[in-house]
Amino acid sequence: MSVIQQGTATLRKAKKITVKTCLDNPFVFQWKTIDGEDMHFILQTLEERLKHTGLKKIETPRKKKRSLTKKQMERKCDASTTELPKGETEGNHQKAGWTDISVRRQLAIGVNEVTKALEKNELLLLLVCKSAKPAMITSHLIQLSASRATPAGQVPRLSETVAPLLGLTSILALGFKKQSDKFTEAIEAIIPKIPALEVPWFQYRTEESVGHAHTDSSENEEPEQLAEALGDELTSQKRKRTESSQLDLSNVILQPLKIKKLVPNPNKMKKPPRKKKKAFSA
Amino acid sequence: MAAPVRDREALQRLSFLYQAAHWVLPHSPALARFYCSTQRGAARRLVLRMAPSVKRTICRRCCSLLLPGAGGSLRLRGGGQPHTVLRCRSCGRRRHFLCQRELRPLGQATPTGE
Repeated sequence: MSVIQQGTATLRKAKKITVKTCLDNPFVFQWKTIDGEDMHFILQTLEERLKHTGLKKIETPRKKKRSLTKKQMERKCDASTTELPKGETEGNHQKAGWTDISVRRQLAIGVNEVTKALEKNELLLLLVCKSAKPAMITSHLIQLSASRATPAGQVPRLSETVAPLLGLTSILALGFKKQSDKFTEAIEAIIPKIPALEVPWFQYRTEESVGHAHTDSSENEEPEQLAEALGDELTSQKRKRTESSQLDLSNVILQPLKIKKLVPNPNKMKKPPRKKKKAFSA
Repeated sequence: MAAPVRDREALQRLSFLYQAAHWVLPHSPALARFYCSTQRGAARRLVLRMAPSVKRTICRRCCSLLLPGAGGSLRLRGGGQPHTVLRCRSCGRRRHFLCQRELRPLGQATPTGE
């Protein structure tokens, strides 16, 4: 090993950059790309249906909110409450809110509402916008919709086309609930156009329920042994032992190990090294 | 640098446990929790790093596997910076993740995003 001289920065920078390995996620969840024609078709049908029903949200202009509050404080002393109703209905003849509430209830608009409805199994169809930044806002919907066996598709320009129709700034997720009357035709037209999502464990689980498969593969033996061994330890497993041994794992494909290689950040701010100790050692 | 052999076997074991937990989850969440706790214990003893996407799906308190459908609920919250709140259903522990727009280059040691 070469002798390290003190105080020379160049020799310190010539250190080997150690590459660390870390476990990477073996599963990759991706939305499937829909063809251009199908995409246009989906957007067009959506636009037609929305214009037909005339669903829109009207929001009150909030520009004069601050001035209103100040004036309210002044005039509360004078006990005149005529300013309030005037301010609200200034710009709009209609009431603030959605035009058609019954139609609004058949749709789930917005990511949070869509996730809630998916958890309750209320959705027939799910459409997601591709232009989400960052993408992790909508990435959880892939697994959710696959677990509930709900068709879900990613359409690039959903937000740009649908949001102005509804009177909102942006829509990243749109779901159609099961009891929708007015959108059934559109849903039935859109569903065959959407490719199925690939999530390994849920896909094979639906195949299990359909047909009985043989459990002869070698990979099946290991998890079964584990399951049986653990069945003795956990009391809740004892009754379910017979059920777990019927676990169909012949379709399990073990994902290859994915290793991420990490390189230390070259621009990392390092603390200045202590020079006192080395002075003593010399 | 060639990957050291012992670490490779240990990493294979970790990934196997992780995948097995996913497969077992619909049948018994208790077994999935056991697999995840074994995985975390093995990683801790050998001081192996796991990708943040893997770590986020394992609850820190009860080690149960969190899938958006079964086990954990994900909500988006505005209020300042947009962040997602992942809540474990069995132990109720909440984790907040900021929605970061710019991700650092993937090969760096300070891992961010997925």
